[in-house]
Amino acid sequence: MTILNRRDFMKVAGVTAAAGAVACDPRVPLEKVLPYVVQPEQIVPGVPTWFATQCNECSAHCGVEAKNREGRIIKLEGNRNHPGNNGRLCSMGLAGLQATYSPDRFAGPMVAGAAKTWEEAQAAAVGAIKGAKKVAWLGNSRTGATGALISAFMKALGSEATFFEPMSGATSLRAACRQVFGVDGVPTYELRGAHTVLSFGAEFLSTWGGMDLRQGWADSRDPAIGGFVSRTVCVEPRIGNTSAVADLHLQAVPGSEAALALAMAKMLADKKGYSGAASAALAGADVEGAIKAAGVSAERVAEVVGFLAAAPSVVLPGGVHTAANATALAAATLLLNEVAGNIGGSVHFGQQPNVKGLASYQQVAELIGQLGSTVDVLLLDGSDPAYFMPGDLKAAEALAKVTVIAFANEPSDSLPANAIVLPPGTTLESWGDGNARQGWHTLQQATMMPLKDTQQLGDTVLSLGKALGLKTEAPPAAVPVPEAAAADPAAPVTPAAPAAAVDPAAPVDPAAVAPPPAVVAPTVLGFEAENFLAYLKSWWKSEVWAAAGMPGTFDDFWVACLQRGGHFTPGNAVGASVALAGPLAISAPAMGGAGDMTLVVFPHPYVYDGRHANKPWAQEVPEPLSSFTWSTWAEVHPKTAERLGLTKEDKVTVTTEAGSITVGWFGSPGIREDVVAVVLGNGQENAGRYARSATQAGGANANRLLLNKADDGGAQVFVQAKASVSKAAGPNLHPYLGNIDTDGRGVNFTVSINDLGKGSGPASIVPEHHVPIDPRVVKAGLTDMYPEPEHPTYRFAMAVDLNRCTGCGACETACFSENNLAVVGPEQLRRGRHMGWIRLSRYWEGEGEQPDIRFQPVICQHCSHAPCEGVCPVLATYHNLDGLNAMVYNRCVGTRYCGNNCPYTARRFNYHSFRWPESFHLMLNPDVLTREVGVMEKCTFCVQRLRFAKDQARDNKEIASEKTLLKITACAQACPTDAITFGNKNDKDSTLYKMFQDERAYTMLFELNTKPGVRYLARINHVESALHHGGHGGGHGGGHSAGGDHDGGHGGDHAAPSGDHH
Amino acid sequence: MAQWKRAVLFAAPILVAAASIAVVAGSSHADPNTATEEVFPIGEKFLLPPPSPLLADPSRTWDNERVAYGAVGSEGVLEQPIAYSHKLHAGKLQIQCEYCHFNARRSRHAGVPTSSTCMNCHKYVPKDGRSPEAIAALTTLQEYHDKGEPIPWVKVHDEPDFVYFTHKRHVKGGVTCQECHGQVQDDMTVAYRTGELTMGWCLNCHENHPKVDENYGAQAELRRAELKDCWTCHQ
Repeated sequence: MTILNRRDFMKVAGVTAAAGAVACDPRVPLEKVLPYVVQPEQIVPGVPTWFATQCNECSAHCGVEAKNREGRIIKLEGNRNHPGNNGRLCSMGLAGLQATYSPDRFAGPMVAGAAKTWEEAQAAAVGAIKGAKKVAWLGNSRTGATGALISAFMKALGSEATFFEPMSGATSLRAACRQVFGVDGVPTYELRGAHTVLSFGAEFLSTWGGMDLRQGWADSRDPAIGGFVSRTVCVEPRIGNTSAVADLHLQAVPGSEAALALAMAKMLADKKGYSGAASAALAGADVEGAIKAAGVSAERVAEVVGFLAAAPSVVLPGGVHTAANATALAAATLLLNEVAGNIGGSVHFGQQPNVKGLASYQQVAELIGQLGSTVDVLLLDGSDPAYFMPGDLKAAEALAKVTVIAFANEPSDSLPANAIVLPPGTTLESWGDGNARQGWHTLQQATMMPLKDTQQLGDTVLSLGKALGLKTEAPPAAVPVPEAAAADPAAPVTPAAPAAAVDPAAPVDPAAVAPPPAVVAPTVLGFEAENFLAYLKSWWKSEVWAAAGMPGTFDDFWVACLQRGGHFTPGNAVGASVALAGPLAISAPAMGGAGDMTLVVFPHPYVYDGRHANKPWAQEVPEPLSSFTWSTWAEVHPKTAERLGLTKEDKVTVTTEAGSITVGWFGSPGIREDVVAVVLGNGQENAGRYARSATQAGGANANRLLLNKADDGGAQVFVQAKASVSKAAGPNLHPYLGNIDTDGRGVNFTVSINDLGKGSGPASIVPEHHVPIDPRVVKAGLTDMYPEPEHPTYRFAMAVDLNRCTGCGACETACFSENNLAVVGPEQLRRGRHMGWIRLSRYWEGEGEQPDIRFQPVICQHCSHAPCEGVCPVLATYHNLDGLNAMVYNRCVGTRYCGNNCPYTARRFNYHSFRWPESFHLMLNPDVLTREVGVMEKCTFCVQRLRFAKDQARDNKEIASEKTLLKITACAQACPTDAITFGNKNDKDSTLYKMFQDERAYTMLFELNTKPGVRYLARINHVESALHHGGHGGGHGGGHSAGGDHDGGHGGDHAAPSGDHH
Repeated sequence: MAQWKRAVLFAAPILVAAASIAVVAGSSHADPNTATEEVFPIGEKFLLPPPSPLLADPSRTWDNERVAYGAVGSEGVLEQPIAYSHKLHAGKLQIQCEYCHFNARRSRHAGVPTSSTCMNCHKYVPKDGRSPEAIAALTTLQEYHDKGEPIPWVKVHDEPDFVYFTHKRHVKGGVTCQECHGQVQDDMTVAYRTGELTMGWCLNCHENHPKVDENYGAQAELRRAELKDCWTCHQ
């Protein structure tokens, strides 16, 4: 009997291989190489050029540096010169890049859906405006020269521009400032230096305010800065992205916060013996009643008042989801700040956010009401009222009654069929500017050629103005200030305290908001300006340069501004005195409709008010808390879910008097049991393909649950209705993160504030849970089977300070942008095929008033003893000399052993060759390979950026410096709170090395002895010591002597609970 | 002979099975939900290497493709829009390589000269008295330049997309252009490939190049080890 011997097998294999080779084609298509005709001066093909510009994704107008490779922008990063974001950028800003390359962009101007030339389309627009009774403008916030031009244009047409930000929350705050201080404006909040941060709902770490708040908050929590760790207290009915990192969470009944804030002010005044100007306003406070109505514990409230009395603090107002007494709530928080002594300090009027040009909700609702009657032409600039206005206003039908002239790049719900579309191009393709705060002038320069047949907004407005023969009779720079609201008649403004209550000594930038006409009139061009750039320059010359007092000519100044991204003057803290004479009146808001729950709506952290719904990154990156993607969801308490009998497969129907929607659900342990919270942002019907995909996958427009209600300050009432929740047929789009807590695994720890400084060496105060190792094994040096790999030059490593991490997800979006990560869509996500290299784990360890939610960005840990490497049959993954766990895609055969063997679940498998629509090809990073089906991929520590740094250093025969490496990876670069630090561990002087030796530094799953290149610095909690022994000195270096002191005495310091540590 | 028979008998079912798997895998892939595919496109998927594109696409001929790797020698000259001669410019006229390929020292890409770079000289060099081929080539150059269109050169040295190569480090390290691109100044009228551009060919220098010792001295061994790291070329 013959058996197949080895030689025969080789022959068979050879025949098979030969057959395979015949099937393969050794040829490749010829490729062309196209040189420039004339080489642009700044561009070296293969080397990026950076342009400073501004971000327009929200009204904060952060500075941006746009990375241009061969004429197209491939990445956005924060502008290091901008005082607001200091080089960092949030998720929304990073995803702004996708607007430019969106496959849904209009090819050019259109009239009633038919493509037209610019001349034809503009002629149609001019015709419509000429024949109009009244023309109105509704758009997102526009400030600076852009805002001035639009305002002048509308004024010349006998109308006014309505700039509206649905989620800014500024209307109530502004009305409150007028009421309390007689100041027309909103204050600046400085969190840096505050020992207690108390928020009544403002999502200052997510969608409320600018990035400086996040950075200030992180600094206030960092024991290395200022030597203290601030305490964050949130008063909110649910847990949002901000209250998630709170030390104390008071689940107040929605609508009761105003009375509670005033009660706390009263308690604080009594405690401190305050007898200042605000005393009269506090007279009406009913402390006991307010605490009872809010449904919070009186002891906790007293404790918080104790914090405020003891140390510097800052009190933030209500956020977006406020009830009908939003103005009173904002006023009460201002009074609380006054009593706490923060006005003029951490809360001041020196560098006010520029909200004076913003219209209130009330005005927009009135405008919608006028459509078709008094207004017959509407100029629409990026605003989407048909989506975000409540259903009973029937905004879509109102828009259909007028001629809409839309400055839109993409379809939206607010584009009627007969609209005249004049696409303005995106932020990256056009000139503009912004003036988000007094003294902060950002310049937006065109950083690439337009991809479509577009004309920048300023040019279109100018040419419409010319065609209409408009004249600027008044100084165009004077932005008309829509009188947002007559102040609350119940609490009259003291006539003795006019706007001059702002300290006259303040170095108010005259150019900032309302420049004196005398300075302006002579030089700012009118509609005769040759183009918008000329107008922009003339405005900057008269408004910014004149006030800046810089040496040199305007041209020098202009070039310097282009390089820096704008002109920024520091502001001083300016106080204000209380002008409110009588007691602050607070009414309990009524909730309309029937139902056993109260509805709270909140903006999506990435999709925001819906304006970013068509950006795949905004949809694909899981929302930090619920980890939902591509859909709308409702948050209910797990007990509510139990009561309703909800399973993971079910959806829920939320019904109010206004309507009902059926959406997925998330059992949030941090929400009141009588509250249901629904996220805004998704559910567009006619927007681009990604927004529609989200709608199909489970998105619904939560604005349809609201009725048209404005409070006495003119702000929209978001918390207005009773709701009933019922079970509905699924499928629920499964959240990305399954587990809600760590299940006791050693992945995430917190340390007690009381243990700080008591340890020495890494992890010495972290209550690590691990398998004890026999001390004899440690002593004999038998913990490691293999020697430590050598890292002669670099050992690249990362430290993540979880105490600074807010779980905002900017790192994830930055990673998508830098590394060409595939967006797989809801269908593939349902099968668990998320391709994000960073998983933002969220562990919900505490409940009730001490939520203890721990965010943890988990990436490839670049282990020195990596479990993935040993199991790869083809050596596609290995440890390299720089300490990186390398993954060679062209070597990978897709066994997935590595992914199975990774204890951190850091690897992602390509189940398909995920592709991008053609238009996104221009956005891909040419330095990073795109991956094909059957290949494992994972975090590379941005090896292409490391290579760039090493390459630069090698030019000087050096190794990459600490300064270069500190923020080199895309995630570290983006992190708004500087939680991520990168570096070379071999460099003993580096920040990274010091962080690695920190007493809070621990490695994930330490007992596996994988020797990761990533260490986490445990979050600091204001709780008693959790150590059950007095630190276990062994640390991570060498053999861990865990077993040795595990049985040691429980000498830990059990300090008094929540004692004041200052 | 009996062994061969056994081998064929053994291999035949494997081949048949493999072929059918390939066909099934190739055809059954289509997603029933076409809407999803449109918004989130995914590429084709084969269990085995895809069948020859030549069968699938009759428009593919040897004229518009070439063999991916290996030295092609002077018989592998590709047709270029302009019959540019390195022998004349780099050889006879002694123009430095980096005059035209001016990014070689600064970037990954050496860069192909812009037509304005060509015109720096050709504005002044008369066409008169040249060969008809030269006049035709210069006329083509002039036309492209006047139209403001880039000259569509055909890539001679084309690394696969999964290879990272940087001219900068090689040039700065003292590797001469000729080591990879051949004696362009002596041999090439229209450029062709003399280097194989295969992994072994690259690694040969990465292991043995004398410049490594020269540049790194005591650190040469370390540098050699770095140069053999997979991520040096496949990141």
